[in-house]
Amino acid sequence: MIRFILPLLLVSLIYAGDFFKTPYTIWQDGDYLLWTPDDSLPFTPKDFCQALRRNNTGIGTPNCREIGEWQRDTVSALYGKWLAKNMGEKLEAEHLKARSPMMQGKITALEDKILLFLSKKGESLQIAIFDETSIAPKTAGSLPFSKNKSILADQVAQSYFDNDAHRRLTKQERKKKAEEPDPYFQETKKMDFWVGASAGYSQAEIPLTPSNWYENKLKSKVKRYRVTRDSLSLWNFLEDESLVFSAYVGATWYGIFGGEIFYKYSGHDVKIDPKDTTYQELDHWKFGIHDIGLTLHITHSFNTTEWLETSPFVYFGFQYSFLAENIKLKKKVKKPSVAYSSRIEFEDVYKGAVLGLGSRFLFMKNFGLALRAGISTRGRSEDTTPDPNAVAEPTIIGGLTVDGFISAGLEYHWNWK
Amino acid sequence: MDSIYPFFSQFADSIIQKTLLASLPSMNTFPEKFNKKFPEETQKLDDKIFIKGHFPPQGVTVTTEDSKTPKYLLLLHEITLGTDLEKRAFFDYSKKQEEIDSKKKPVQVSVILSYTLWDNEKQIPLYSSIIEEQMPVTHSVNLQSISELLQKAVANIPLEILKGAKK
Repeated sequence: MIRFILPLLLVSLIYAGDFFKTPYTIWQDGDYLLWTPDDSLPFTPKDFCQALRRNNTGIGTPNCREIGEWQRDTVSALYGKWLAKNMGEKLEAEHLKARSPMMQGKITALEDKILLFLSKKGESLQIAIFDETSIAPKTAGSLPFSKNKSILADQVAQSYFDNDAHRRLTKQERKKKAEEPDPYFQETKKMDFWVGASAGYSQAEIPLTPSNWYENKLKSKVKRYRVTRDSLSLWNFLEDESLVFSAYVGATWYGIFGGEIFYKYSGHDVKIDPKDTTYQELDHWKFGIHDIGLTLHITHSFNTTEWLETSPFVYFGFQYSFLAENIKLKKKVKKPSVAYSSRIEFEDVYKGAVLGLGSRFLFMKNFGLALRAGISTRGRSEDTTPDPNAVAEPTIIGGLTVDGFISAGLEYHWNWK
Repeated sequence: MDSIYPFFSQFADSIIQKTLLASLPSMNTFPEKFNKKFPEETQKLDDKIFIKGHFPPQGVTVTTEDSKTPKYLLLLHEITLGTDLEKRAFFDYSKKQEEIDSKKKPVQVSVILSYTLWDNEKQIPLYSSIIEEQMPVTHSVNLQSISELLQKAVANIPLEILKGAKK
């Protein structure tokens, strides 16, 4: 009977795990202070630094040392002794807080250093982690004790320091963070106004869609100045892949709703069939597409760092497209062919929708970089009711044209708080 | 001397000691001065109920004059004697906005008592509580009836502690 009870007792004595855990920041190239109320540390600071680097590749070059000044100081020695005695399961951070104002002051003066409290209790090593944000340990737990110092250090590093390491803040950034209000109460800009110019690329094929949607349009060539397989999409006539340049002005109200007026230009060659001899008289034939439109934005801003604000946004709107023809015969050709004179003509204006998403990076409050991707359409503008007595409607050229685009823009911003 | 405090303090001390000794025979008493050396702190009982008192600091065990270390300390923080008092008016933070209308004629004599049972070895609070006892005002209130009221309040302490220990 006694033999049976003994292993059970041993298991219950060596409890390994967290007593409680609240998130704390792990700093890159951070200062790690080791503190123990015992006679000596369970592992040397050097062991611990090596263990950190072995177990967390992003931690940089940490700097570890024993915090001797706390071990010699009466106030912190008393608290250390007390903490070692009182740590245990089923506790909350509140139960282990430092009560003496002097001790509280010492902990809050840690700045961005991480303090690791270590004490041996029975056959386990008790660990508590402090930082300047709380007068109680952020996390406390215990691990089975091992005489091998580097194994023990490895275990501590593995269990408590394997999260992503963050860049250490500069003095100014820390000051700003301390003064910063809760994000929910943060002052939002009343209005953010911008002008910008962007360059991008557009094509008919939208990624992640089946290519047979486009096959017909992209293969189609214009014969004898007007003959194509189909005339629903402009991409039956024009090269779809093109650079897009745009200029725009816009504004966001209260950091949420925004609007933008834009002008876009892209140049497209007509897809003439080189085998067709009719085109021997032709020097070049291209169309410029001018788009003018209005979009509505919905956005949300995050203060990423002191000098950078990131605002992802989605937007949608409408645009009018005008096609400007640029055609020229070779110089020696005096009289164009009949086919030339009766060549295709596009509608005066196409009406379409724009839909996209993107993110704006605002540097130093004034200089913006906006990256966006989206889909734009151009369709025939139905501003006259079709005559019911009319015979079959003539073929609509460019009934629906769809393309996808990406772009990057540079902006200048004015803010009003 | 225009205060009844010195008198009441002595009077209450003797009643409290007598009452507590009856149920806790192995009790030692520390004078009030002893407790005043410790820093004053706030103890949270609930989300909105806080008591204030002097608690021994972390890491320091309290020893008697003959250098014995008691396992537990009973810290009496505050005794309030008055008419028509309610404990929530004193300790409940969510009631701090409430105003109590003044009455011309007192209905009850009240005692409010706050205390903490302290683990002297670990320096942690084990149990804190606030006791309220009321006595209706009849045609006369004398020292005898007040001492009975106090006894009734103090007698609650060992009862509450025992109830907690059983849990």
